Amino acid sequence: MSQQNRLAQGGRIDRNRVLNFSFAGQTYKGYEGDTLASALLANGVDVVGRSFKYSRARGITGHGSEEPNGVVQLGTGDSTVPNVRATQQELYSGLVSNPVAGWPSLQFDLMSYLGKAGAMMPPGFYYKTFMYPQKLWMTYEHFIRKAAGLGKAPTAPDPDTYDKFNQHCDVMVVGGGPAGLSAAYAAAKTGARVIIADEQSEMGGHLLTFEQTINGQSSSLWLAEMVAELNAMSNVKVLPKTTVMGYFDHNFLVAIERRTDHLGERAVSGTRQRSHRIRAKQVILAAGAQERPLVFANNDVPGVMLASSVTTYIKRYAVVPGHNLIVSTANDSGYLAAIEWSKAGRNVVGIADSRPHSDGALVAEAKALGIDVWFGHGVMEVKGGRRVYSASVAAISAEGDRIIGDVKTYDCDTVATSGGWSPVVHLSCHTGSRPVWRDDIIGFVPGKALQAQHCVGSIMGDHQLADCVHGGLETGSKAAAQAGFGDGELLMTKPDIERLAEGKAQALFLVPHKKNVSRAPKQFVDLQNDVTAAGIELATREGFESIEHVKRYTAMGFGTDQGKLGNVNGMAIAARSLGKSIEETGTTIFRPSYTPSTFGALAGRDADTLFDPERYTAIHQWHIDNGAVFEDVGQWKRPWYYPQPGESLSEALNRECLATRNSVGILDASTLGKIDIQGKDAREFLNRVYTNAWSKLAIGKCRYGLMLKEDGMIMDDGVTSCLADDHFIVTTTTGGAAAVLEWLELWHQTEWPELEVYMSSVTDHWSTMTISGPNARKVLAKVCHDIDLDKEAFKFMEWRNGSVAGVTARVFRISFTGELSYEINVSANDGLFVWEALIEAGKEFSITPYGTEAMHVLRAEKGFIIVGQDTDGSVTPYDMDMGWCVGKNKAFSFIGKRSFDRPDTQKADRKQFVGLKTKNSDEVLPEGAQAVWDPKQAIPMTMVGHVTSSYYSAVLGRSIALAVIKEGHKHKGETLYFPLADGRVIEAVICDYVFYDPEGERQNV
Amino acid sequence: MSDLTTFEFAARAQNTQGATRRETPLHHVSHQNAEAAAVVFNEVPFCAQLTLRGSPENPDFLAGVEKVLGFALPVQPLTSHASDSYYVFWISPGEWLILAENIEPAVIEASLRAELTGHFAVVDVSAGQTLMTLSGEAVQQVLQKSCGYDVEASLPVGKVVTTTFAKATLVLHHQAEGKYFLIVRRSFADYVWRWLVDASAEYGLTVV
Amino acid sequence: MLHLFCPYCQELREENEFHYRGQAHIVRPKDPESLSDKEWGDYLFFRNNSKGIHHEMWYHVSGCRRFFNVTRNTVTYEIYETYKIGETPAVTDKEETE
Repeated sequence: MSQQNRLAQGGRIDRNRVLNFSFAGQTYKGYEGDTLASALLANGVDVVGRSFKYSRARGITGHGSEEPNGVVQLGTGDSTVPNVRATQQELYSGLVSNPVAGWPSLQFDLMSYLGKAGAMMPPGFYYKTFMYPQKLWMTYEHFIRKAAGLGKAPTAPDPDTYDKFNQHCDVMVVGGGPAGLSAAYAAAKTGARVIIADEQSEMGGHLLTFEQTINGQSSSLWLAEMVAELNAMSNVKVLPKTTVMGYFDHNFLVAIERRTDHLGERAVSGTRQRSHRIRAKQVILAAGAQERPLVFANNDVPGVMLASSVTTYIKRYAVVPGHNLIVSTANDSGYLAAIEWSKAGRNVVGIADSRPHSDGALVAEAKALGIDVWFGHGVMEVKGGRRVYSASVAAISAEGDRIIGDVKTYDCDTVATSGGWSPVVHLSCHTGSRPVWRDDIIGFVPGKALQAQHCVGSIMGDHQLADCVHGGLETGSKAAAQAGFGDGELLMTKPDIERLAEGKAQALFLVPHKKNVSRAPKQFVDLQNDVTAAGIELATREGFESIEHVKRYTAMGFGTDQGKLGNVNGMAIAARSLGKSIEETGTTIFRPSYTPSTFGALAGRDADTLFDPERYTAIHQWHIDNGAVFEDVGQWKRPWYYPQPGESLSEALNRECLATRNSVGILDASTLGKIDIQGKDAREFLNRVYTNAWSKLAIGKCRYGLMLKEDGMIMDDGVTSCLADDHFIVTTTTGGAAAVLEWLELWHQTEWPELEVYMSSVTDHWSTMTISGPNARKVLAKVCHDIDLDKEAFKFMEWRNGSVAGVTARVFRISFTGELSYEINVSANDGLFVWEALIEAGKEFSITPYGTEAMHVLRAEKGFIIVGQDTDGSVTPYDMDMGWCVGKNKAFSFIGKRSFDRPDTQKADRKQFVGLKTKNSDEVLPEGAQAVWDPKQAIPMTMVGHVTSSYYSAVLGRSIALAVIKEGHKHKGETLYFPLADGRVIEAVICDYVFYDPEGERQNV
Repeated sequence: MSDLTTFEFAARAQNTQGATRRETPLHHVSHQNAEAAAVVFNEVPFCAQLTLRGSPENPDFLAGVEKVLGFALPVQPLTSHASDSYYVFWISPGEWLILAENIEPAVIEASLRAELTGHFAVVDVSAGQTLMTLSGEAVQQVLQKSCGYDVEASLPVGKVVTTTFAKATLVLHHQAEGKYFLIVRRSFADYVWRWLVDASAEYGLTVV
Repeated sequence: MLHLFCPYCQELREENEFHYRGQAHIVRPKDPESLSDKEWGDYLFFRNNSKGIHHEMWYHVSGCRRFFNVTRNTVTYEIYETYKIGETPAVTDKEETE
């Protein structure tokens, strides 16, 4: 019974390499070179899944990315991939696959009872049935999804890796069929850099299953030579197994290369898939065309296949997927399936050709083989459940719209259909170009090129090999010339290729039935979404006239196959139903991705610890060695707190805060943004971008500054120090550093280029460590001998040059804790050494490293704001009670000043910065809690402000909070209420925002 | 069997000012060298790096800088110039990066300040960034995994670009055939290093 | 992903090297205090939402750190030109395209 459908000879498979695989728990054998689909067909597996809505048995119908039914869950466990097309998955030894549809099993299907019981599931079924009550939708959806079986995402991290590769080329060729290969070849011969990608495992496209003579030789020879020549050229990259999934702006394409998917479930070495990010000067789309089936009654029964797929399985894989074949076609190309079937020694019952007549070469060949040809006929209906057992063939009118004679029923197990060829317009659609209908080729072709793009071959409806090869050479040469290579003249002679005689194809989409569409057995248009011809007609009757609406209402074209088989048929049926032409009805637009892409390929190595840069200070390793728990501040990793063994966050926090208040703490402040400003107009520049006045800041002095946006709202803050009359150092918040530099450059470059000032980021050059607390001076004195640290000689808000631990340093006496503080800046190369020296010097004072959490508490006790926490881009300096920062007499109208007079900033009920003390001193308000005056009012309550910062203060022995409250400044002493989500209401009294040392004496000692 | 060595970056810490000690941005990492290495990495420790600003239209400025460096500033976009003592990279119109392996930054800064007048700026950024070199037969592939820039065709020897590298920004210079300079901000050095280790894994990475 | 020609670096670069900075040629009023609230509000908040030609500012953040202007078609994303700050655009009258 093994591989009963495999021919003894032929095919592009290696019979010496037998591969074991499993599907739905059964094990089978196939050969290297097989796809999962060809191997399943070789083994006579008819049913590969159950349909989405009606749960009907489905078999393989196609042989490529268009396959709607043979969609499997590949692999097991963490490396499993849902929704893999069996037609595109190369077989490997040990391959494990399962159907995605058909829960709970292929043999016994729960949903089929719903279908067979005749339960009505018309288009819009979900909208109509499950919309109300709305809150139950989630429940319904869960059930529907499980039943519909869209595959399962793995629940554990993917054990494989994926990466990205940036590529640039002069000419990008999509599609490795005869047109694409020729185009790549002609372009490459000019010296242009060429990339050619094809989704199949080998280049060749149609030539892998069809032979014709080129220059008197077999086309397979020509193919082998062409591929070898391209591979040998250093300016060409040949990418098989690579799907161009998207075509984006300015000729940027993303192509996903499956590097190891054909070798096994897990990548043994290297990356499993690689996403090529390609920037091309010129793009050639040679993506070919996909055959479309004819629509007829019960056309979804296993055994109904595309004619070209039947040919492919026979020629490429030596698999004949049945015994008795009937072909139903509206063109010559369908005959090829019957010819190959017959040559393989199996029975062709007949060819039903809807046309009255054809003189084509293939027709003649079929007749010569003795195959019955029934002109003016079509397969109207098949019968069968798990496999076709008969087909009803009827004489149909020349217009293809009605049955005009008797219906004869023939026994058969396979029906191959061809309704014509649909060019693969998807990628050109991605650029925003609407496809254009062409009556002469009965298909949509890519619309006007919106980028440097060319199309050649079947994608333009040119199916003759001569047109593909000759057109490919010309297009490749032309594209190269437009990219600056060659003059567009061909550098080779066009090969001699005979044109095949071809009968004119008929525009037939739906084969008529004795009964009208609504009464006939189901005529499937979109197999994956179970959209029927009747469903589309119903949608149009219900008023959905735009093809985009029909699509959304019926779900046509939504599946993993994106309507590759069904869309054109659906549009034709909708057009007929609406009494319009296909041209008038138009088409829906395809969007990326062309076929489903794995998240892994899109993410590449930007995952896990490489997801985003982690920025470290020079002292980072010390923090790790000393048990720091880190916090993300932008991309920086900052020590959050340093728990000692067994300590909780709050215990560590209280210890760090108290140590700083009572003795001395040390903070790694290196992440603060630092901008060096030089030039004779530096003061004037600072005057314009800060609220403060800088004209009189003397050398050696520091000043806290507020930076506003032009709307008057606080944007950033920091201390600026005067190094020389024309040299300043500005500090910014950690998170704001890059944005502030960009902001300063913006004003300088675009508004005031006449100001002589240069700005440079020196954030990374300096290691900054703050020692803070009553013993800070004593610690510093032990390691700094060349600065007079006397409180009068080196005052608060001054800076000095000197050396610390023998290293050149700038020491700033500034404070964010309210304690005596020194901020020591040394070259980052020396940062760790100086930090360790300070720790050593501070030992006798139990110097305590503190993290950002303690820093937040210490500054909140002093009422110092953190921009971005206590401000949110909607508060002015006056709202924050920081009018003292605003230089009102500056000559230049600084950024944001005019906005202080806007009606909005002037209004009386603005939120203002205040302190809060909870009635229960142990209770810590949640940050973000909303304030109301009356907690008993009806919901929605009138909210008057919110908590911006809230902590437990160890030194005060109670909780403290900062908030912005409407007209808060005049409501001091009054009680506010904070109703919380859990039902609690916290009471707090508005107070001053300085909780500790209100006179500010401690920092001046 | 093999002479694989673990490269300890910390070994490069130097005693430079008597009892003091300094560290490069990568001092905390180490690396087990690959047996067959197609990618070769080096962090050149403690180069002098200075940002120089001034107008390329100002002949006095150009002359003053030339006097200190011994050659004219490269004023064309994306160009560089190297001498025995210095590398100078064009960064932006009116901005250059001066790099020296064997001269103290303070010395360079003082010489420039002594020669220049008018509107200019010199900023010592030596500890704020680090010089990495990358070479080996797979260097091209590693850069293609990391940079969107067309390293293959648009970066001939001598050219310098500031561009993205993974999700960081760096200065990329094709120093000699198949050998690249990567000048990386200190805080991003560890990220860039870890990215390089990962991207080079399939080719083999050795630190020298 | 757009491909933008930086007029300072003099070559095309990938979009992820740049920051978009909004409509170009918005000039800060010389004397903000003399403006009515409406005029100030126009300067602060109101921007064109053109279909077709749009002059906009970009910042080469992962490059030369220069601001420059771009004339872009907001429908097709075609870029007609890029030019330095202080220069005037050459393309201003292209018809709306569809």
